[in-house]
Amino acid sequence: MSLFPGQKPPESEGGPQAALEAEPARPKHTIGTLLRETRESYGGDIERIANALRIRAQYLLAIEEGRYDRLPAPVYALGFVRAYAVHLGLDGEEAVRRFKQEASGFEISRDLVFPVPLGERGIPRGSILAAAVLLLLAAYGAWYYLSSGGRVRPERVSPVPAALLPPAPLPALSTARQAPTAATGQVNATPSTPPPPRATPPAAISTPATGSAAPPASGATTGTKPSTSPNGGAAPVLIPPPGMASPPPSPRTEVAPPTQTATLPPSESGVAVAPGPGNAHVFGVIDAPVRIVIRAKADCWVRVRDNGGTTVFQRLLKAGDTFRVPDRPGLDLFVGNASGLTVVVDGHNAPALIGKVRHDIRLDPDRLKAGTAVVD
Amino acid sequence: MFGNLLGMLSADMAIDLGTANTLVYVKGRGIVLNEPSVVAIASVKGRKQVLAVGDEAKMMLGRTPGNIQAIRPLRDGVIADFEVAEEMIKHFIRKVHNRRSFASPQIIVCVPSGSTAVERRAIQESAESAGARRVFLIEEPMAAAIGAGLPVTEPTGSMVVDIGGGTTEVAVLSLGGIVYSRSVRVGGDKMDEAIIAYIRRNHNLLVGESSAERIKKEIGSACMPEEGEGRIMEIKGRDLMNGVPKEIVISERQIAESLSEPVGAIVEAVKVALEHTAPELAADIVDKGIVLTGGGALLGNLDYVLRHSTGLPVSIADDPLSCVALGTGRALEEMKTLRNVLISMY
Repeated sequence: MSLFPGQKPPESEGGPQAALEAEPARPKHTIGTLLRETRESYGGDIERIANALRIRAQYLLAIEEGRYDRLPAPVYALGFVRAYAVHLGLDGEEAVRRFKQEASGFEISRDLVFPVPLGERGIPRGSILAAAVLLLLAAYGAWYYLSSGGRVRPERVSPVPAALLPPAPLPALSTARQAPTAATGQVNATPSTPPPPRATPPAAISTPATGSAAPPASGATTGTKPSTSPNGGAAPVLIPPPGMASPPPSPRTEVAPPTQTATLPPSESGVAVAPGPGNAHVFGVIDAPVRIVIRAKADCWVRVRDNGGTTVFQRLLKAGDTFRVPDRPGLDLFVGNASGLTVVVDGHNAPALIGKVRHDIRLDPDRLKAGTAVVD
Repeated sequence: MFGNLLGMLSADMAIDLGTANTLVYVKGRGIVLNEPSVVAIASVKGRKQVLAVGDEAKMMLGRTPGNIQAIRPLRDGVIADFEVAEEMIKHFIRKVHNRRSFASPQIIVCVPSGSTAVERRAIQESAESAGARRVFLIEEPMAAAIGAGLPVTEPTGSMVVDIGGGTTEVAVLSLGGIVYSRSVRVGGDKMDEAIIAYIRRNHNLLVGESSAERIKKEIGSACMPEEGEGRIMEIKGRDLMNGVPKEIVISERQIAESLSEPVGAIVEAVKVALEHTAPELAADIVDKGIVLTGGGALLGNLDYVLRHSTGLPVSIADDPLSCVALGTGRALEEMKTLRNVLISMY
């Protein structure tokens, strides 16, 4: 049982308590030495105390000698100090307070690290997933770019219907619109404000949006307008009406060709469009003489490909529309309504095509004239 | 999304919802609230309204007129009165947030390890209906061990005995988990009841719960003094023989005698737990011993009794009353690393 009979735990007064209160004046006296001195003053054997407290003697010795690294976790060490001090008749709480002060390094509460299963994840982490998605997108983009041959997709712009275009700003225009002859519209005048330079050479497209902005513009207004725009990219596009019955001799048609060549590259791949009389439009090469002209009598879908398989021209020709075929060998014509087309070679009508859907019509002037152009 | 927004306006809380006292730990602020788990309810025209919660309500306990009820919503560590418990949690949430509305905190509540799924669900749901955004539960012995600073995650056995108001939790922990736990529904309340019964039986005097608690705190002891009567105390109550108020003097020896039954139950629970402990863990426990937490650890000489009945070193944790709240709070602060000690009843 207890080492000192009558000294049952918390309440006990006398010598040791007084010794503890006198202690703080001597800082070199640690709680360990105080406990040892108190124990020795009673002549107590550490083994017997260890037996009474059920605390291993090595822990009690570690407390006395200040070797806190030999003690178990702080909570146990504090419990041991308290029990030992109380057993010796000292104030347990004061002993614990001083022990905490002295063992401040030891007192740090440790981090709790839970055992985690070794990395065997079923699902990859979010960052890996995100990287994979990005990589896939990049791969798709590269494939798409390479498979399309690196060229820019749009090659032509369909004409903007005249009904959607804003009316010309000048009041003179409204009077000019009265004259039906003025509405032949082969002359394309620019609006007073030049449009942004959209028709840059690589696009190889003369935009009809600017050209057809004022189809009713007649000679009445032409005199008031500058014939050339300061920024050449968006110069007034003047298209001679190829194959049209009566090209009105305008003083500006002479000015037009240089500006037109400025906007269009000499390449025959340039597919241009110019408004014809009424709703009819002229497509294809409009700035150079061509040998083959295809004219639609009825609505007809046409596609022209070169022998490399690249589509040069493809659209639905309305009745009256004209397609001026670029002068280069190896072009094939696909049509949806062959009998609706008239093929003019060097100004003479070639033998009429028959049937509806025809493939592989060789656009060779000699074969067309001979009537042997249809392959299939 | 909306919940996250409200979360920014609220301080996450860890609640030690005890039978006797409720402690609230607020993230980043520590323990901010320690009040008795008592709610005073007034009936106004048939409608029940909360009159007071905590200390104020405890003063009313056993002293209420007909229209007021002072209720302890928890019994034996679990919710006995669902609605009142909800009101109490609501009150604590509001008090922590300075009555700011829109508070919708994340809450960790501790539950006895021996509680059933229904009891855990009741606690979780009452916290949810009190306005919590998310509720996690943590087992009391784990919270107590973390709060006391036991090396619970190390591969070494630690034994913790948490003696609360309603239950005593005995658990052996190792590697961040509970190896064995045993919960007996003996705690401070049972001690109070034992004191009341003893005084009634031997002195024909009826004392209230609050008086019994005061006696326990002042002269309560787990074992009899070696000689004499020990400390003495004057107690007041109602004489059962003639019905008049009376004052008697009671000694430490008598109180120790009255407490022998609940103390014996605690000792028994510890012994049973030791019997069920694997030999390797038992070897660790022999070296380092048992740590006592909870208000019951403050009962005089309880460590002495346990030491002599088990033959193991017994240490009382620092600030045993707050161990569970501190451990729950640590789980809240280090939610990521301590995630696997949290339970969610979904």
